[in-house]
Amino acid sequence: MRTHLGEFEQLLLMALGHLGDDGSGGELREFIERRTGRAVSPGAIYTAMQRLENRDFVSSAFGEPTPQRGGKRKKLYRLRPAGLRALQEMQAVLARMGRGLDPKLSPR
Amino acid sequence: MTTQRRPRLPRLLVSLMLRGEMREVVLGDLDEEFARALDGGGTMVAARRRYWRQALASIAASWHRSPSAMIPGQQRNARPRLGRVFNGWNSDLRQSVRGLAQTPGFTAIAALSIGIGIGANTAVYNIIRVVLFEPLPVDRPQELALVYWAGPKDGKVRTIQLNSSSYRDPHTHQHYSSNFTYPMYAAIREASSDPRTLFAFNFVQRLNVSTGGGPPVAVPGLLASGNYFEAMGLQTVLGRPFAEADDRLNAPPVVVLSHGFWTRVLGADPGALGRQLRINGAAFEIVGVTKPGYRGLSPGGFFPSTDLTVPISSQPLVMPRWSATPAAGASLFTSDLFWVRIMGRFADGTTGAEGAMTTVLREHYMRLPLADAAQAQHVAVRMLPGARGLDSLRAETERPLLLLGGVVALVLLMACLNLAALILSRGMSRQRDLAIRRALGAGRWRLIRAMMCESVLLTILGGAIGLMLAVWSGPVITRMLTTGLGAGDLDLGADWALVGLAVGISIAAAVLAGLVPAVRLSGSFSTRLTQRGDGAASRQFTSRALIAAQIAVSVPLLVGAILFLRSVHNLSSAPLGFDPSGLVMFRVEPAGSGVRRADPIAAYERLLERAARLPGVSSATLVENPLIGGRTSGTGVSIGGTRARLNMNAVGAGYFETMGIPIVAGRPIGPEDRPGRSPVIVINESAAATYFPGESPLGRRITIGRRDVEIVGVAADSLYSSLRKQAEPAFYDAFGQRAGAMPEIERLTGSSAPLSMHVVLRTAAPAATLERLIPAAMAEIEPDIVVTEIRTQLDQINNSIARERMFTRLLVLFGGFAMLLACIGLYGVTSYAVSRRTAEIGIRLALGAQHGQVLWLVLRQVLVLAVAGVVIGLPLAFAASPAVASMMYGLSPRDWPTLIVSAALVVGVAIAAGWAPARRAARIPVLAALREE
Repeated sequence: MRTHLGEFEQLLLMALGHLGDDGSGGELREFIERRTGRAVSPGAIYTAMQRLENRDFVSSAFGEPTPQRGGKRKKLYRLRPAGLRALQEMQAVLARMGRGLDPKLSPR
Repeated sequence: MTTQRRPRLPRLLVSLMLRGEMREVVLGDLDEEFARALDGGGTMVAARRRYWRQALASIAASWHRSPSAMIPGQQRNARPRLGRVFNGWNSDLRQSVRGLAQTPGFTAIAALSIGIGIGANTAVYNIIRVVLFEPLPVDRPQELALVYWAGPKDGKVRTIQLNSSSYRDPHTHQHYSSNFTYPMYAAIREASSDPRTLFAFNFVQRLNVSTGGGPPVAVPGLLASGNYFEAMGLQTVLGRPFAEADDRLNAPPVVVLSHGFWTRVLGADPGALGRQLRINGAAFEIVGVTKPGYRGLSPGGFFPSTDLTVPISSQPLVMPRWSATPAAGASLFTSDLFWVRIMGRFADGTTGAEGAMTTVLREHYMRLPLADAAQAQHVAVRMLPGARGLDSLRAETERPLLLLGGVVALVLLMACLNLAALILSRGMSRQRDLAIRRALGAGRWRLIRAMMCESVLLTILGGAIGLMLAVWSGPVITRMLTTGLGAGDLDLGADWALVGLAVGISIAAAVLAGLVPAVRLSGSFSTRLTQRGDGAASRQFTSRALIAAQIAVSVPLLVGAILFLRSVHNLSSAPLGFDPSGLVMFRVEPAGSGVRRADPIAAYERLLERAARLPGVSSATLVENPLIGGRTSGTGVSIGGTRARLNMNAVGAGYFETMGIPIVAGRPIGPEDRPGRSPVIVINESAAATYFPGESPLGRRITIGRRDVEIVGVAADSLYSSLRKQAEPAFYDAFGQRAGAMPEIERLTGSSAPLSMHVVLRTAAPAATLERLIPAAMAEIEPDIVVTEIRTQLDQINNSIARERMFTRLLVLFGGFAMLLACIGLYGVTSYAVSRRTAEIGIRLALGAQHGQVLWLVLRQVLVLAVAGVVIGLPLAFAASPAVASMMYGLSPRDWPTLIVSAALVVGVAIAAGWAPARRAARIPVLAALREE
């Protein structure tokens, strides 16, 4: 099982960590947009989350349909232990790679 | 409330492109975000824009991030349901585009050939549809019928036909005539069960019209009885059609304009209604304008589009030369002047009406002077289908048009074969690749789809090119065809159904061709992997058969091209008997002008004198029928007691000098041969040899009509109406002296001169310059004269063989194109065969084979294909030959030299195409070839 996580996947997992249990796709998107300042489409969120789910990093469930969503259900995600581990590993890798670069990396 | 204002299109796109739960959650998010943006005080525009962007980005993301479709198995597990169908197509499509872009030569040839095939077919079949099948734009056109009739073969009743046509029954060979006398029409109509639906008409080729402002124009017109519009069911867009009340002898003259005339000449001025129009000098009131699509009774454009329709009772006003005493309208009552055509609407079929009309007509015929009951028994009425108006009878256009249809169908077939061969060879060269993919678990359908995707893409590309060609070249080909066939200017839009059909045929061919390797491959794949690439003999056979078929198809096209080239060469090198270069001519329309009113001969002489002073003109003359113009005049004469029929042509002084026709004995027609002087003629050598063998005709007299004329000269023979007709016995008379020579004409025209003469100029000036100067110069002499048909003699000769020239051009074009495609195919197949046999050839060379032997090894295969193609193609050409027989001149369509030359050409070109790969084979470095094994 590969543990590699792409940048976007890391962002998603971290956002899910922030949101706690049962973060919806829309909340994930908004969170990432707010923190990173870049536009993300719902399609991109769900496609990537699907991939993470296939790798057992997250689990998903459907919420109740609401009138605001035109009667459509929400998809809710939960971070799974494997996902958390993978995220931790990636963070460790990034930290190792960045060691000694602090003066250059820290924002001015 | 926001529900109503959600952007629909992006929603639809998302629904189409995304599947299952993906669709649900994405749509939900989009809608939720949209609703929140509005509730949060955002503008509708911004919210909608964001909706659009997010929707499109979602679709792109779900496609882009899909795992490679190339990895079998994974896809299905990784993403159940998720956009699978589109996903796969998308990657196939991208792969196809990439593949095609890598081989631009292949792509260009395949697409262009399909494009040309589609373009040519669309243009030609569009014309075929309009010219051969389009009915008149009226209600229930199928009910319309033309009334024709046949009289006794040796009828004693004198008939003078004006503007008539005839129909020959293909089975009984009986000839039927279109024209009746006005009293005949009246009798038939009176006895008809529903007289309202039976109408009379005839054409007038040119009516001279002055509108008050601007110079007069000459336009085609129609004389029609008062019930014409009602019977045909024709509406007007402006004003009213004319009716029975307008079709009385002393009713005020009225005219209905065509929509084209109204826009072109009167600037679509609605105030034109009620205004006066001078037609051939007489004043007519404009009462109506027809609908735009109405072109008169010839939807195919074989007769000029009708611009003016006037009641038939105004014939004496507009065509006074059809009646002796214009004021009385005598021709309406004359019983020997056949000038009325009849058409009618027969809702219950024509069988009963035919019999009833025959009875009426026989009774009427018996009362004619010199007729008797026995003769009247031969009179029979024949109804002919009139749904396409007069074009129903244009059977002679059918054959060349259908032939053309066959030619372009062959071109499309050729393009399809070519595409099939290209795709097949491409499929073969990708066998290994496909086999690997199959071995890795790619589905069978998946591979087939990948192959077909490329074929379809190529065809669509070709279809797009074809569409552009059709739109761009359509008008060009249409003009070429219509002038070649003698039809007028047709305004044809693109016919999308036809384009669709042609594209459909090509796609079907491409898909079939793509299927063959794909289906074969996807069957058993393990063996393919172990083989070197490809090589099953049967597939080789398929592509070789396709090449042979291409050669076979190009053979008839090539034979046709050579036949027409030789035929046109024969025609244009036929000795004319006159010098056509440097001749410019034009027609002066006299009706309504001074030429008719006062002394016509003096008026013509004044016009001629002015024309002779135009720049560069060395001599000028007048002629009744210009040469190679399709028109002849002829008359019965008596030469020393023997009756004979001679061609004749009325000419002015200086005719022979201007035309370059040598006078072999006596003198030409000169300025002294004026009315009042003793009438003279010049005969041609054929007439001299036929009627005065071994003696001099000079000074001899012959009787024309009631008067004796003297032969004063003999001119060398020259062709008269057509390049195809050898010179026949003929005489030339002075145009000013024709009075008395032709009592009927004189009576009909009410004048001693033929009314419409052509001026011929021999000039060193360019025709274009004269074309500008001539109308003004003529207007100086006769202000309201109309000058038409300005052209050079050479143009006139070329136009007379327009059909042959058109076929030549098209066949050379298409034949060359077919040959080129066959060569490309041949080259490809041969190159491929050589590359496959590199090792074998290397061994042969290593064992001592000579270069010549290797060359022959490869060329032999090329020859087999070429000969096979010729053997199939020649019988095809042979079978098609009767269709072109009537257009051949000086050779038979089964001309053996042509067939042999074509066959040799095909074989020669095939060898040329195979030469390069063959030489490459012979020069293969032995070591490199062996290493390849």
